Amino acid sequence: MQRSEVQALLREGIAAAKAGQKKTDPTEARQKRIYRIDTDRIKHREHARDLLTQVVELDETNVIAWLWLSTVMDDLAEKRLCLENVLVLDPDNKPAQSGLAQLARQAAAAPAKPELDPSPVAEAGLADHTVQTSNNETPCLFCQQPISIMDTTCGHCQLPLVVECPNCKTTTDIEHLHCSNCSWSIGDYRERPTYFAGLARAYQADENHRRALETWQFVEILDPDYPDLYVHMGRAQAALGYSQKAIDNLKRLLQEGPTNLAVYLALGNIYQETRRWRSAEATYREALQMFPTTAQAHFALGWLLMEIQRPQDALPYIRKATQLDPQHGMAWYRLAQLYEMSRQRGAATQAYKKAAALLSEESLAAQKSHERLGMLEPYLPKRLATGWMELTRQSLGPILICVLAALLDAGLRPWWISWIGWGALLLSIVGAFLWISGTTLPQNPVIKILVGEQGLASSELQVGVAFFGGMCWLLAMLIILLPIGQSIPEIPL
Amino acid sequence: MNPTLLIVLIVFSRMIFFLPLKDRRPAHRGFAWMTASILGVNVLVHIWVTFTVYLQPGATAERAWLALYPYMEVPQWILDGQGLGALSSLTSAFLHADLGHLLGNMFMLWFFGRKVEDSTGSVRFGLLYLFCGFMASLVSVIFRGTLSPLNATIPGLGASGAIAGIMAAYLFLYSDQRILTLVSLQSAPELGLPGCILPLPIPLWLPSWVFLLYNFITDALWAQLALELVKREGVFPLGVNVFAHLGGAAGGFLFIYFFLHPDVFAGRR
Repeated sequence: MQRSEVQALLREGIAAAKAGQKKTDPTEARQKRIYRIDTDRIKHREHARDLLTQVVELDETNVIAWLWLSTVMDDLAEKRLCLENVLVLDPDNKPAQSGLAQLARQAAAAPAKPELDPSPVAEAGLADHTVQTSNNETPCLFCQQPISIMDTTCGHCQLPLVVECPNCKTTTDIEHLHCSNCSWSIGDYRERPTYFAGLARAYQADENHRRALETWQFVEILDPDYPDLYVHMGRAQAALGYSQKAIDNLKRLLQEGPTNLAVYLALGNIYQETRRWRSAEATYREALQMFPTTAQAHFALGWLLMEIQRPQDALPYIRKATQLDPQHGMAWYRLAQLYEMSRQRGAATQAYKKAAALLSEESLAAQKSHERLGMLEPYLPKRLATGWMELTRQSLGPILICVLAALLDAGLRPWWISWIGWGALLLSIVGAFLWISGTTLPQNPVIKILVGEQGLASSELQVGVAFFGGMCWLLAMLIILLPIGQSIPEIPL
Repeated sequence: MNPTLLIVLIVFSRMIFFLPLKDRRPAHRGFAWMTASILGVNVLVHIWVTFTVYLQPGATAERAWLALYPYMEVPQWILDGQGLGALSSLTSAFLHADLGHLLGNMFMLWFFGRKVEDSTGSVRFGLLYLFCGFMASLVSVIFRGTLSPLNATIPGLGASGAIAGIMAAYLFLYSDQRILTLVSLQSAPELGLPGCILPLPIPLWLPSWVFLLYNFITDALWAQLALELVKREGVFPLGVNVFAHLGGAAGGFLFIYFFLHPDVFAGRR
């Protein structure tokens, strides 16, 4: 194997060993502190052990490989063996000396430590022999206190020095503007709270609530007065199942100064999600008293009332929300639903149109709006839907069937048609007209004359009229076709 | 028309048989429920008739005739206002003489019915089928019932009149379509030739109007022959009720406009 290949193997082994360590940043400098965050460090350690074992098998004199191998060995005796090998090759190697001393102390004091504890070598400061120089400290980017370059979190200010990319879940150095793995735009850490808030929102959008809550806590460290900080924290807590904790926090905030609508909304939302309807309603109503001209408060209360099956109560609030904020797409969508529930077809159509125009095309509500519009809008252009021509066209088909049947039944002599037959034909005309009015032409001119300009507005009425019309037509056909009073003549053979 | 030329034309046309395989029109609706339902009812009725009439112990052609006669379309009875009247037009449309008769009709119904139902919707397709059935019956009664007293008592049965209407509606709606057709040669048993079908190995994409007009023109030639025979012999011995085919086709072609779904006019289909 080429030397370069051994070096590559070594680098890979070191990287895996670093990934397997708990709090040790693995690269030579923070700028290169990029490694896949592990959920299973044991795997990394095993992988590192395999790789580094291969390296020392290929190159027994590789001091660095022996040193790193010692960090991933689980057994103390094996660790010791690795360090002793280092000292054989380099008797003055200080990390190996201190590591051995540490091991000796451990062996004397207690049984072996759990697997994932920092190795004595790492604790002795020789985790990265390649950069093992006198300069292994650096000031924290946030508090400027000296920290080890291996640290992923500042021990003084508790802020992180690496972050998880919300997009690809790999860790990236905080100084990087983009994720090193997927190039997702992470932001500039120098914006401090705004930087972490952006990340937290991205985690929340990804439903990574634990990470979001942790990141909101960083925002809290940097700026406890960050807008809506506690609202977001409350939401993250609620999402993680700590609803009561979130409620307590938000209540405390309201007691301190009830001036923030977002706090009310967050609190009401948590009550709503935990199905504490009365508390949610009381919270939203309180918010409305404090902020009577905000669309969000009206919308929140209206939506709650819709959810608890009180559409009549919800309607004024949702309508008010659309008046206060005509660009509130969701409010238009809910308003359309309410109109549809109250059978106001025209108003529902208009509201759905507004919602479809305002909401993002990808959103479920926008898609539903389009779907409902397809159902609510008349089948035909208005000229046809309200004209005599289409009514005649559609009615003639079913009527002609009855006329043909009646004619055949009367031996092709119309004057043979009995008065019952004529009655049946009349009934078929009524039936055909009602069926068409209830199905495709609810605003036809005859219906307009009979019930007014709005035609058959509600879908229930349309179904009823269509069913009744269909039954009338079937009855007419039955009357015509039933051979009442007709004799069966002799069958010719 | 010269009777000799007429017979030559009929023999020639009778020897060519078109079997539709597929067309290229995409379907806009889902499953054609009404077509399938009509097909199902036809099959069930045939099975029921087979077991209750044709396969009864001691069944003879005479007994079957007697059992089914009232339910078939008898022009004389309809004209006299006797029997089941208009109802017999409906019942006869669900009766078939044998399995071959049923299969042939149902194949055509399934092929063309689905496409027409796509433009009419299921309920309107059912109405159109009914309308074509009555139209077929009307024309059949007029011609067969008035031209020859003997033919007026010969009953008609089968769904072919209504199906001819559906085929004509297809021609009206999709005259620009092409139909992949298996062209077959067959003899004409009606003309005393032994019956057989010899499929040619070349399927052709025929324009739908060619396919359908061929069928209707053949029927028209047969009808013309029937009229000639009535003039000469006083009776026409045809096994196929071509008048019903022509009546159904006229109904489907001329009246499909009244059965189209409004979506067609709204440009949604």
